[in-house]
Amino acid sequence: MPLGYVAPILHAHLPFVRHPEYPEFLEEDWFYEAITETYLPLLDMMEGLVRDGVPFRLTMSLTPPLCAMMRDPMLQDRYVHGLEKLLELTAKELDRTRHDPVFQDLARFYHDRLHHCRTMFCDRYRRDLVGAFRKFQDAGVLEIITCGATHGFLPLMREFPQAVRAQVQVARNDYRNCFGRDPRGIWLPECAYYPGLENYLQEAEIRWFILDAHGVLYSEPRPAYGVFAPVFTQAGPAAFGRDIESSKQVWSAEEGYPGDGDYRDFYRDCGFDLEYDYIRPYIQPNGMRKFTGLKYYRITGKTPHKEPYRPWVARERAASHAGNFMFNREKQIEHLRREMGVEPIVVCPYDAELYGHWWYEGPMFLDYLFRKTAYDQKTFEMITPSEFLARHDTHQIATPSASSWGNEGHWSVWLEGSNAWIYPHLHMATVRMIQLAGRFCHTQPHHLLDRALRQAARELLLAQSSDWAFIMKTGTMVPYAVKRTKDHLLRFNRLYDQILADRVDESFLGNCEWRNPIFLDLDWRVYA
Amino acid sequence: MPRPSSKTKKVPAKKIDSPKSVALKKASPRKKNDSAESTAPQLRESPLPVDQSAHKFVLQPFTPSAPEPELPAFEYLGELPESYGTRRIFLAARDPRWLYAYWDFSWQQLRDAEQESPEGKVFLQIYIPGAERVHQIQVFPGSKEWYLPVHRPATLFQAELGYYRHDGSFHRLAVSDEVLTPRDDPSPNREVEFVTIPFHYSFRQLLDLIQKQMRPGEGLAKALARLQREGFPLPFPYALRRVVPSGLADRLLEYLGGDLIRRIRVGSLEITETLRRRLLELGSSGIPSSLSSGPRGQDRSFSMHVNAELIIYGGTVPGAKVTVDGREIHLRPDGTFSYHFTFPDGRFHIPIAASAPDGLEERSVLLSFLRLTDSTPGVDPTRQPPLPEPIGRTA
Repeated sequence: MPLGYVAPILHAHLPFVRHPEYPEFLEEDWFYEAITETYLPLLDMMEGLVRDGVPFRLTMSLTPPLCAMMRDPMLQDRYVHGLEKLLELTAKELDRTRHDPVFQDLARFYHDRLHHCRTMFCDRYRRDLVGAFRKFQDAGVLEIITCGATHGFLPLMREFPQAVRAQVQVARNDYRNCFGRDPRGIWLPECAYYPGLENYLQEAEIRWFILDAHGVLYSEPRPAYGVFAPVFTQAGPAAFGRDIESSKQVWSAEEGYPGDGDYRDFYRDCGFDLEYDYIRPYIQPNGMRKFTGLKYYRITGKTPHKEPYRPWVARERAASHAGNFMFNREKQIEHLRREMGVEPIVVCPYDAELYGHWWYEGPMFLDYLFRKTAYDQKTFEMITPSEFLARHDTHQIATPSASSWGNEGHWSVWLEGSNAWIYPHLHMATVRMIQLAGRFCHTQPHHLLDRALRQAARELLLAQSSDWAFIMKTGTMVPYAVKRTKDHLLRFNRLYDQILADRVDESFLGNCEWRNPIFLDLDWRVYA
Repeated sequence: MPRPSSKTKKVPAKKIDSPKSVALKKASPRKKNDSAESTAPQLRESPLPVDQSAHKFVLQPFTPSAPEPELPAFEYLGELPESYGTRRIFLAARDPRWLYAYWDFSWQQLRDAEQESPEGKVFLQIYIPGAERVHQIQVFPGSKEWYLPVHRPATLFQAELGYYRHDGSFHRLAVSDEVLTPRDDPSPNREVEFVTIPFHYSFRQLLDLIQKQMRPGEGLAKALARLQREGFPLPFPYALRRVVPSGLADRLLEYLGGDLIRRIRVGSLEITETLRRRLLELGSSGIPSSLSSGPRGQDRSFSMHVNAELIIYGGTVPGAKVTVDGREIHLRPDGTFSYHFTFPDGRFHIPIAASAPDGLEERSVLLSFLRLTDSTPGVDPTRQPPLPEPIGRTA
């Protein structure tokens, strides 16, 4: 029997960004970069672990907007097209660097990686990444959990129970469509919780959720086991708290592994380093440079001077960091077990995109961590929270504290000078959606009206995405976030007026549907 | 990439069907559950009309013969209203120390309220229900929101908007829900109550099992815990009592760092936020968004950006030594070289010299450059990669 457990949890999320009205759109790159650098490497890692018979457990949220993008044929086409262009660039790079062995090797490294991505995406998974992840869940090594339907910040809609319920129920239904079963866990958007939220989770049969450490530590009453055991909320769903120590080892910008000088530097990118005319076909159509993903330098140090990246050295470094992480968890769990007298669980949640996209060697680190944990120690086991709850079904009852995992631990990232203006509009749209649902839920609306109601709910949900407020707060790409918020609200308002007047403009509705084909079978009655 | 043109810049239509009619033809109703691919209406068959202002000023040739259709009316979504005039007030506990309130009153509604009030003043008041008032702030027509320091964790607050009558009573125009500020420290309550909730039972099944025993307002876990304490027969085994080592919660808190929790909590999302912030900082000088590279502000749909970089390149025999402005530079194996740097305004004289591998012969060249920028307002420097500073600047 192990002395305790470690639950690695990756939160994979991107806002729904899809622009059929443009031939290319920079913000869609978030998705394409994440496929190449995070989702495919994680899938590749799991393929390898399963192939080699390594026992491992991983938990991942795949949010509904991300799943919708993964399943979208237009975005799939554009991803493949972008991959082909990058392959063309790497072919040119192989030629350009032919006299420079260091950069020649790096050009080949990217050429091979991108070829591998194309093979995985097009041939192995036939563009179906949702299906690829589902396969690992069905194999029992990956637990996929859900999230809010559009990553809406739930505490700031608590006055409108129907809105909170819609975020949970629509996500649950979407999960069923994607994965053929019900979700057992949820990543609350931004880990944002307020007492009472668990009632909506109970209604959706969601058994557990994750909070930042202080959400659990400041529970009422005080949790006897700190964050090293879940607490059952009064309604039944369990709250797991984030472990501070393991988070810090990976997350801390100063002390964390990703800042190591041998790891790949995120910012030095061919899109900015190469001569303009040469790189011109691979940057933005308007001539602005952008990241290509071909990055030839390592972090090196804190100065602008950068040395060429050495993938084999970075790999060794990732293995050594995985060993260090495992050693620290062993010591931590030995100590906790002595103190607690029961098996502790150490919950390690991270943004999935940290692994691979920001921290290029992150998937390698995870791969080594799973392998070393399986073979090099016996102190702890990897586990998913659902498995933990199945094995350990007796826990303390407590009400967690209102909290989020954002800066300062509460709502201040999503409610401050730059973004507070959105809430009167979001709330008004919510009131109106509830009004519409109440008015029509007992009728059989004709087909066009039904479509309009569904689209109105979609626009509201998309406007609620916490990503827009986050971007407004962080200060760049703000015009995009502002425009997305306004556009969804303005589309909602126009649909609302048309529905009430029973004069739905089909061309306008068709345009809205064409832009935002998410939650195709959404039931707007959830707002009733 | 620019966003669609604003209302102020309509492009005259040429030949082809009006896009609205194209849209009407194409935007056919979608059947329920049809895939997005098979039914997504195609709005236009002609090239997109929205990129053209930006394309005039990029290096790539732009084909002016492309049709410039008028945008469909539904592309103009308008602006959100200043207020809806619902006379609601919303209060949120933003963190243990701050509240945030907004109210949805139009300018005229607040003006009317002022006029109704004997003092001509409308107030936002924050109070602890059943206890004292903690804030009274005069609000004016046009005001919409307020951030309120309270510095009282785990306390219930309520907000109201209104004015005082002659008799001193408060006439409420709106009142918010009650909100509770979150805790800022571990609870002093150390009561430990365990419950067994078997994972293989759904919540629905558990509720059905104990529905009749549940008390009003009692949650599922609470009710199960009570019934398990009372020895109520349930179809699954449950733990009656568990002993928690004494002082464990305190020791674990200490292990977690006590005060450190607060510090680390501030660092939640540290790396993502740091990385994003660094990216965004870079963004302010290097990474634009699709929209920021185009218009800025709400009414602009036109912009221009210009910048220059200088690339000096050439070749000699392999093994030769080349200096640029006195600095020796690295030659490629075939003897070629290039040097790439920013080219701001100024006068530059850059001597380049090569000496043969045996040091017996030399060749040199002097390149001179002048850059002077004179632009109309509204022209920004194009963002540049992190290139070396220029060399050879003389003025």
